[in-house]
Amino acid sequence: MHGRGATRARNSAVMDALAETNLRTELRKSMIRQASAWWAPAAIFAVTVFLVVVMKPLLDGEVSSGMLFMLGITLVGARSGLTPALISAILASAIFNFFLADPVLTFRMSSGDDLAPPLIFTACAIVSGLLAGRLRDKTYLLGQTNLQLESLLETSRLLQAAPDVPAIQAALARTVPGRLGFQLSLFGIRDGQSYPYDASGNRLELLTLANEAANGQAVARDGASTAYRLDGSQSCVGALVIENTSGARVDPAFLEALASLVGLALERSQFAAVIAETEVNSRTEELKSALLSSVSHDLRTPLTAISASASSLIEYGSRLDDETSLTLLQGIVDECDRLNRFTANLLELTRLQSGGAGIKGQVLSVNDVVRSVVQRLRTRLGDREIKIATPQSDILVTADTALFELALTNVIQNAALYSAADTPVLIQSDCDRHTCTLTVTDQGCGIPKIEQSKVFERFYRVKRSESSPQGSGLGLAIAKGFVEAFDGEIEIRSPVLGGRGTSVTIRLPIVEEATA
Amino acid sequence: MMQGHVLLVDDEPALVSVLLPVLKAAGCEVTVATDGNAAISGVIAHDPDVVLLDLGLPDMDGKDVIRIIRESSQVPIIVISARHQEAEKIAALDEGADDYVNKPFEIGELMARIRAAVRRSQTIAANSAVFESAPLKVDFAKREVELMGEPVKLSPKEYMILHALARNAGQVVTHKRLLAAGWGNSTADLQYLRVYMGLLRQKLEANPSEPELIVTEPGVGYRLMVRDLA
Repeated sequence: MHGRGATRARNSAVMDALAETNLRTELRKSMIRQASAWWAPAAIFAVTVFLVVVMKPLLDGEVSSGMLFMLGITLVGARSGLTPALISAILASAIFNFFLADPVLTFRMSSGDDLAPPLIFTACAIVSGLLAGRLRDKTYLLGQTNLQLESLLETSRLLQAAPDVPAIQAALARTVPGRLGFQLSLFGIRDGQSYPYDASGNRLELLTLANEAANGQAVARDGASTAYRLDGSQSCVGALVIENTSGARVDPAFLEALASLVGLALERSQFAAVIAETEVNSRTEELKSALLSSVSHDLRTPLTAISASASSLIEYGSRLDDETSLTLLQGIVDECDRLNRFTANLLELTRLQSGGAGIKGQVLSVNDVVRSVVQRLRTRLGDREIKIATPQSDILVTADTALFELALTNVIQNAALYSAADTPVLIQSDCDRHTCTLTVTDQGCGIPKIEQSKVFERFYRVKRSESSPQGSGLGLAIAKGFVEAFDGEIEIRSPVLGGRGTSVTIRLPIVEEATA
Repeated sequence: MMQGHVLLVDDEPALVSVLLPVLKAAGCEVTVATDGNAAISGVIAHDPDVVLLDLGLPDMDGKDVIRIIRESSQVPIIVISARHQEAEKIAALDEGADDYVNKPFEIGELMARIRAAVRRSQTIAANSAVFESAPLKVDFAKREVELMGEPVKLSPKEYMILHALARNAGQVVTHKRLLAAGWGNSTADLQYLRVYMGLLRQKLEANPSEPELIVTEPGVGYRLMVRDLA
């Protein structure tokens, strides 16, 4: 998924670069064309007249001069289109009549024979100007249409790659109007009212215009601004306001086509958001059902033990020997403790789940936390050997006290539960300039490599063949949630030494000493 | 004081450490198995009088354990299940388990289930032709039913249902089994069963709206209550 996205992004960057080069050339050409619109035909015509005048002595009468003019008019038409060609034709016919056709230097005709050449010339000039000019105009229009189609295609490609509103806005900025310096503001629609997606659209006149377009006639104009209604496949999804701040001219049809592309992209992004939300919901549902089944198991098992023990003591109290009674009573205490721990874990998990509400960071001494957790665990772990190796100087981190203690308790508890009673559990803390490292190591049977990445998932329990104490599958999930809430990392390593043992390492950023 | 050999199949150390001493104190001999395979081999090796089977075993499905045990043994099986395993529990009963207790349970309830199961296996062994538990008496050979010494007239279907309940007196009998007993078809409409159960209760219960003889196990089946023979 990630790799494919990156490739697509790279491809799209290359395409963008190419498209941008093409577009810039086209735009430059178009601008030169605009500036040279009247200069070029005038120059061609002037050269033609100059040639006719200079070469008059060399040329054989009216016919050759006429031909020369015809060439000039055709060139003007081919270069600049219909209007310049027709103007050239009329001018040329006047010049021909006045300077070249007999009688020279007058428009008057002396005889019927004099009438024919100017008339034929005028007709030929107009027809050739007309044909050349129209041909050129057609070609020009085709070129323009082609250019617009290409930019629409490019726009469509840009918009198709845009998964959400910010991406659509970025894509819009790279389209032709965007690059020509037009201000493009995107509006969404909620309860029939438009609202701007970004700060540029946060102006009353634009909002009014967007509302007009969205609720009214699809296109609304006000001075240099035009609003287009954005239609999705089913309903109106918003509005696009285009402010022509640069004065450049863009075909309205192109802008309308652009608006419909943006509409579809916007609708798609809204659908994507709906799908994402549904996914989040279904994941929450999954978590809920996992939580329910865990609660059912993890609450009911200790409850069953407690209920069975207590009812046995009531019913068979007299028949049970002292040792059995004591075992049952101890079992009740242990299971109450287990219930208490499970409830605490559930509570903290819910806290972490709800986006960290109520999780407060405060500066804590790592050594203090380790000592207090170990002290509390002592009674539960009996005479289990717990070695602590901490540096002399204190390490300070920012963390939530309850969560830190619970996370560490869970990790140490796991180490003790899943290793033999006669092996020690080692707790080491250390730090470099930025990071505190806290490692809990046991000499138990370890965790298979393929399961190591899963142990941090909620409700995941490593499958073991032999009978072993069953955890709730919450402990390490909470440790991970805690560590990540405070910008740290957690890592599991197994085997540690001689093919046995597991070590869990928690890294947290240390509080940098304030420079006094 | 009851005697008997209980095979306890549970992977929860907390539960085993409670049930083991208590069952022993109640006079039972106890063998513990912590997974399905150990349970199956335990039945063959020890020939227990009753099996207490937790449905949440680590190595195999509880239903499979029951099926494999049933291939070679008719030992009574009592399923220990949690509420969220309701469907699994019913499937286990249909598969051949004799009864169940829900977690959390009190020891008295568990003991009553064990006693009923042991008693049934003993009566089957004795091939008894009569079920008798005051105020009810069912003569299986003559197909006669008496309530407080008075004969009761039952339709053939009513009798077949009561027969199925009495054969498993004290134990739950699933809807499926009762339908199979009365209609020869375990997928028949449950509504028929409810109607016939109503008729049976009219004839047998002192107060049919508050049955004490035939009690409903909601969602599972019915149970014919017996005077405890403790």
